[in-house]
Amino acid sequence: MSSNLLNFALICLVLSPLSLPYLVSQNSKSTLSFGIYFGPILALILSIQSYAINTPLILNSRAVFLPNENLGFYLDILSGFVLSFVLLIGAVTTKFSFRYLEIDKNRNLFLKSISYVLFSVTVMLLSDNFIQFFVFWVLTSYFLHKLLTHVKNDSEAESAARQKFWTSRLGDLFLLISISCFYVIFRSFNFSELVRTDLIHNWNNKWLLDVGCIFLVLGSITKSAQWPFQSWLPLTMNTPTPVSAIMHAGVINSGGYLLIRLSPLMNQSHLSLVFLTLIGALTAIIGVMVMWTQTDVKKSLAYSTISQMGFMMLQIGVGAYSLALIHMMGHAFYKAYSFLTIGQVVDYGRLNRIFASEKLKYNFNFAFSILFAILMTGVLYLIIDPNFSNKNQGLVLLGILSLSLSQVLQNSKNILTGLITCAAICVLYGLIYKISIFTFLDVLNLPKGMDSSMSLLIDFVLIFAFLTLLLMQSHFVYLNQHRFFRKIYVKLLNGF
Amino acid sequence: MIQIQFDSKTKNFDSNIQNLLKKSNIVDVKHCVQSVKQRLTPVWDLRDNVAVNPFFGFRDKNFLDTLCFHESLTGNSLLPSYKYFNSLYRSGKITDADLNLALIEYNNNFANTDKISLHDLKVALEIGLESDIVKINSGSDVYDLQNKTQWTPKVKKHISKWLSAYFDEGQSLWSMPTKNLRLFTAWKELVIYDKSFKKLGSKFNSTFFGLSDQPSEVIENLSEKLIQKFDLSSEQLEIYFFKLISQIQGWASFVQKFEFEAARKNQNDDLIRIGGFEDILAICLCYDYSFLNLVNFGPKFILINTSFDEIMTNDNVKKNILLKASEDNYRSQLLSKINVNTLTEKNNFPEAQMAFCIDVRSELIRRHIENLCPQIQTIGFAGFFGISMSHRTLGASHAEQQCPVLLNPVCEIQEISKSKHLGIKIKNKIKNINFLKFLKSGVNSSFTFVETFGWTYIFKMIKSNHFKCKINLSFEPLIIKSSKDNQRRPDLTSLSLDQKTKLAFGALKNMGLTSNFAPFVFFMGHKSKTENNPQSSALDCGACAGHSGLSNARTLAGLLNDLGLREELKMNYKIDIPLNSCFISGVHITTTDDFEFDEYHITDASTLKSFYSLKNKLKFAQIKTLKERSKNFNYCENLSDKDLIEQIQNKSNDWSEVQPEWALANNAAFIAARRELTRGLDLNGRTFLHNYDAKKDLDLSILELIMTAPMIVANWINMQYYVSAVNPKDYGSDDKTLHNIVGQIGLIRGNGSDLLMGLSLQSLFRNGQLMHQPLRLQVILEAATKDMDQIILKHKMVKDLVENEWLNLISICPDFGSKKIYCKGEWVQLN
Repeated sequence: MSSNLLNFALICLVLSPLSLPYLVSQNSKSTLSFGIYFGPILALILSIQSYAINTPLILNSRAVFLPNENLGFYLDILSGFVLSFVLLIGAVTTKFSFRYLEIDKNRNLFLKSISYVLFSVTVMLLSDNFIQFFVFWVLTSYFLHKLLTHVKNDSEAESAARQKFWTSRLGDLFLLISISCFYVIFRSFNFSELVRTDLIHNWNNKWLLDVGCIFLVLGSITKSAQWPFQSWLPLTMNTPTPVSAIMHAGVINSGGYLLIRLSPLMNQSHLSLVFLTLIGALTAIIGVMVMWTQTDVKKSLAYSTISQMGFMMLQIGVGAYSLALIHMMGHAFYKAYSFLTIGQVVDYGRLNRIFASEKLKYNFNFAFSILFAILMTGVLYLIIDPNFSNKNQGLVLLGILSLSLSQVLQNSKNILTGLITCAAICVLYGLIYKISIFTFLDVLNLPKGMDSSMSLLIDFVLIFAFLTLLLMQSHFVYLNQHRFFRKIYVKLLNGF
Repeated sequence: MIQIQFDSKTKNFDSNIQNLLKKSNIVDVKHCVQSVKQRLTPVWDLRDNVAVNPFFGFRDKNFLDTLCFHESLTGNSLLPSYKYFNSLYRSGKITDADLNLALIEYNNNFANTDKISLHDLKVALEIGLESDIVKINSGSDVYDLQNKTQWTPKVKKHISKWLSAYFDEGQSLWSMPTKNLRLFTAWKELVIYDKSFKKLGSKFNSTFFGLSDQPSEVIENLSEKLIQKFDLSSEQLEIYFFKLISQIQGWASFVQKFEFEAARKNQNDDLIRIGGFEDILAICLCYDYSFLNLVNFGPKFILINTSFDEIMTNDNVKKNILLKASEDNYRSQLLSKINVNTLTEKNNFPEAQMAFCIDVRSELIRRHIENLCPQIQTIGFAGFFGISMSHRTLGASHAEQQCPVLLNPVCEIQEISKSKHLGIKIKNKIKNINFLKFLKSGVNSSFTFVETFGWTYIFKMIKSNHFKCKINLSFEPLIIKSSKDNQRRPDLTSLSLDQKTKLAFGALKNMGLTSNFAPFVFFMGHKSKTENNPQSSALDCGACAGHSGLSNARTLAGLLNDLGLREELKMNYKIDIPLNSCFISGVHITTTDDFEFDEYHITDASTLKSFYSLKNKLKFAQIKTLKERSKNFNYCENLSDKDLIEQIQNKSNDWSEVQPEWALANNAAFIAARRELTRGLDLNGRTFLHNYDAKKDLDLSILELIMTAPMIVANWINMQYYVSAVNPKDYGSDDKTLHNIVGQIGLIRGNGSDLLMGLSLQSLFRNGQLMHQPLRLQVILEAATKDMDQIILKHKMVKDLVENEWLNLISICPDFGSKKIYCKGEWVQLN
């Protein structure tokens, strides 16, 4: 393909979110209404194309002004892949909003704000320059703020948006610090120069890199609602449902994306990786525990997002970048769909009442779980070959996978279906893992030279923590009798 | 010395006397609690979402007085705004003549107060200035006012949080640790760990420690302290309780449901388990008492500074006159249409008879059916067809009520199918659903689930977004769908022949269908088909406790197709059903105006053939109805028939649709009369139509039934629409786009709020215009005034509703057609 055509396609792709408000108002029978899928499909095609010829698609302003800065668009398999699913979710959500906000006088404004959010996310994802990334990172947050305050005269929505606003500004500050650290080291804002690892080894001021990476992590976790910056997320429900869908499935991933984009840098700072691992695991644990107690579906989903994001951060922390990407995508689709279909929860309520006897009883056998998990981890280790990193870091992920397999097995109708389900999950997981490794091989390197005994210790502590959670989850009746756990329950009910 | 001693003695004596005096003026707390409890109306949750008149408990008080009282509780108006009345005036829905008439009536009734002139009303309409409502303050309100804080909404949210934890039906994995205790105790055991009110200091939180296990004791203790502190009279205490309950009206009404059902069933197992009204009042009182502890009082502070009678405002008096004028206008137009002298001839040999629910949505389709096929007779009857039953779906372990919530089910009907596998299949499906839910929400497995299966949601999302297919799981396909051979049907063998005959006879008699049976008799239940709609149950049949009426129709048709039973009916009740009459059940889908029939009732081929030709005719009625309805829908203008049907179909399958149908919006009248009276009239889908023939009702039992059941239900629906339209914030469920579902059974707003009752804005407004004109129900009965008087005398409930202006009762004399309206115990001739 000629480069002009590709550049034209790239510009079309960037501008495509802006056409959404027009396209979704078309009659759903007309061909135009399918135009909403143009953006995501184009993003997918372009990223596959760039993958096939093994060169990223670049369009930047280098020649025009600021000759040192790569202002413009940089599309490779990584940014293209993330962009395509974010745009797809954006398209579906915008289409959903059109009818959903039927009686809203400000519907056009709402649709426009969504398209601006998507536009800024697009430019952010496609940027190859920290300054550009930062500007659109802030812009995304700005337009999201508009969506969050869409319902007028709602003090609660306003206070939640305010909290989100200040958390985001704190995140911006962290990010700015990290940008300046990196600038001091590399004398550049360009991602493609930052991630050139050959430069780093020549540099002996390692602590500044650590500081930069730590602040990068801090900036990302404020965006991705990680502990201790998670409290704004569950409070943002006084806004139309599609906003939640787009926030929980699209915008919140940007923290994780930034870390993965800069993974070659992160690989150099083991301290920040360990820090990220711990924060991610802690958030995942807190998120799951609060989710247990929540009684309304939107809060439940919000805490589920928090814990899933935590798990994704944990994956990034142990260097399983490609798995984190897969997780990001899977979670995005799952969460967007769950938010958009919350209306059917009532059907579950009615089914629960008339089919009360079919309720699932949670079976759990501690010894079995441990034994099974150890066995499976070993087997999976051999089959999947978790080359997340050259040392033992992937162990915790395999441990969690094995624990969930043991859950599946113990709660299936019978052993046979349980085994079949487990096998299916294993095959699917392995397949997805292999594909993802293969796809992102060129963009993502693995962290090297980590302290193996340290990471092994972390692995075991985390696996033990998740096992304990599993134990708790199946013994609520027992826990309920103890004062200590009642206290914990109330704390969790209030959202930690 | 002596002097001093004496002094101290007199002092003692004085205080003794004061104590004695106080005791003589003793406030009976228990009595106050009881009277508040009696006035609180129950609401049903989303699973059986039936319309309820939120002021039903106040029916012994005047309509306007009740509204004024509730306005002062919430601070929001409960009568339409002047602006709205002005728009009615401009569009001719209120005329000067109506205003004059309403004014005369008012000035006659209230001769001793200031007279209101037409000019006053017109000025008010023109300027549209509304005076402020004086709000009664609770302790937390007073605290907020003094300290400029926002605690009241927070307290509401917290009480709501505890109640949703207690009543959760499966959203949370870790349910409330004390759930097995009664509500108050469960709350009490855990609230001591709640640090949400830490900011308010230990003085606030001290209330929650050392509480008694009995909510009634707690109420009594705290109330007595309040009585002493604020010198409350028993009326004031009652108002204070009302105020507390009004802050958490949704949940309190939900708890009241258990009280109501216990009283109805005469069995209080549930009630003993969960506690009841006192529990929720005690919880509210504890919070509010704590706030009162923190408040600084001047010496002249009065907690409750009004009484029931002092709340009337000038504005409300005027608005009430305007409301009456608008009702007069509607009524006179309606009555002028109903002209007894031009009765159409009744066709004694109809080809088919179709019984529909009295629901206002049936009016349209019935009219179009009759216009297109004059040989079809339609009948209006409560959609449960007189079969008070509960229904157990195939494979289910528990039954659901299938009759009005006012009644007790008399029998449980189980659904069966010819194929034995279907039940097991359904059970397995449910098991899988539960297993999947477990995978999604548990620790560890949720992460694995997202990674391995998350991507599959791409297809689901695009499918539901663009192709308007059924989304993942919906209650209906699981319950209804099955292949023709496996047709699911009620199992009637559990009933004895005697029972069956009685049920069938009751239904036929009350329906007025005891002779002239057509070859086809259809019983059409109704349901709506919507996607992703938490309030879908509100669109279903209210007479079937918010469910589809199909199972009742099937049961009745199944009964009457039983030849043995027909023999029995003939012998015992003198109802002769000809051999060639076939009873067919079906369902009218109100979103698409489609019909679904159960063909399994038809056994021979020739009948089937004539059935099909009939079915084809009904198709045209469907299109006509859709065309009439489409005027009220966006995106449905100027479409061809085919496109219109498709568009409406899409609407019903669209996961983002918030206005799938207008349901009972704009309901205004309940007419129980012979169909000949209303046949051919365009009633705009605003009337509940019930068949009633006074000549067949010599013992007045049918009239009694109509006035005590369907009329009440119509009043509930009408008042629900009224309050949701005039005060969507407190009595409606506000904006649908913010809805959040709590405990899988209730609606809350966004982050958390009280349980929402009533209708959403989306069910009431279209392009900023109200689709429902708020007015009280006009009940028009074709019955003699003396007969109605008899029923009114017999039933206090009916008397209260009629005398206190909760509805207008109009009689059309069966013999001469003269029309009279009930007005303060007398029948006034209408022209």
